Amino acid sequence: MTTVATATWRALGTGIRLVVHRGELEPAREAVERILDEVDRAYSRFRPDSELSRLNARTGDTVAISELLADAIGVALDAAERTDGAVDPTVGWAMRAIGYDVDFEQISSTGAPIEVRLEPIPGWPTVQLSRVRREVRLQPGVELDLGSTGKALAVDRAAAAAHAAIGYGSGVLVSFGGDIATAGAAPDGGWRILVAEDSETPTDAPGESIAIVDGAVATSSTTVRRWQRGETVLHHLVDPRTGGPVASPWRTATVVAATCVEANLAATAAIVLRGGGIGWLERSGLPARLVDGSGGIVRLNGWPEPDLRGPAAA
Amino acid sequence: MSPADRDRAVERLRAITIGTAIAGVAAAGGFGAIAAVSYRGAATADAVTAAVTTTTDTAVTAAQPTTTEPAATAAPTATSAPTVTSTTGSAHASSGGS
Repeated sequence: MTTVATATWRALGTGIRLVVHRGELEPAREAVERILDEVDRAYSRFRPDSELSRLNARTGDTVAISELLADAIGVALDAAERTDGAVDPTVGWAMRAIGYDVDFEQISSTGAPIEVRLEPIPGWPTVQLSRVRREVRLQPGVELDLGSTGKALAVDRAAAAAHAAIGYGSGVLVSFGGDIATAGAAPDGGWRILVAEDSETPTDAPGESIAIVDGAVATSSTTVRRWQRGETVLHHLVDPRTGGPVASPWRTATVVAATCVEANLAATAAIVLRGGGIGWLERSGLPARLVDGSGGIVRLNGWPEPDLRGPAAA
Repeated sequence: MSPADRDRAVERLRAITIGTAIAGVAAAGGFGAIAAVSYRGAATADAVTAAVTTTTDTAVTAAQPTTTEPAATAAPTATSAPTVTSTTGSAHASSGGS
């Protein structure tokens, strides 16, 4: 008997996927869409009327912000501190400098060479936040981009909201561009997740699949959301030391954690941290799968070897 | 009232006093236990975040971003990680870059 229903659509420049187990799809979708709308208005970098855009235009001032934006900035700063600045929200200017200044779907995949003056990003301590007073002050020259942890926070909230909308005994899986959170009861055998380079990979494609009964999964990769200017290939994961796209031993990192925020910051840190962050990941205890530049795979902290018996592992 | 009656009355009053004191301590402990399990930790989380993210201008000027691997003490505070198993068959979702 089929106990899951699925909806897919696009929002915030990425693919949205909602899977409901033993519950009604429509109220869950409405809950997810409400979160997407709130997030878009609060911290989209590409909407000039978003709270974040208005905040970025008022550096030097102390600005009152909404609870959602305060939470999102707080989560981003916490991630920056825990990763020693590897996952840092003050990359906004650097992102624009390398050409990521509009929604990614509007960026041409190729183009003429551009001249970029790279410099280290300002760093997260230049952001002064009071979550109690819901006020924030950015130093002049600082521009926030909450794209990494912000998306993960949105997924966590969307999964919780969707589950609350459909009630006891049900379960949901929500994916925003391959960052996944679950809430409630899982189907028999758990939530099956195909681990891929690209989140647009069809769910029945060959590859390595894992199952979780709760928690979240996130993947960071330099192979997707990349573009070329002249002979130079650029991507969206910025190295705070240089302000340019990071050169990492890993092209893709996938991590399982209790929340999508946890999984996302660990996956991004693995790409950005000098030396590949192996020691940092091992200390975290989070199951992780790392793919190096030639396709070699490293599995850490209980990440299972692939099951080669079924068609998905062909 | 005889001296013996008076002594019995004093003993009884002392027992009642001790019993009341024990009941008071137990009640306070009970309320404390209820408060402990009811407290969700929001205020603590706020305080920690505020302390971490509120910086002085001097500290800001001195701070520089680094991406060296953090020391053991700076490792992520791993909440209990979910169990991951290998599986096959069509998936519910794909995790990948986007």
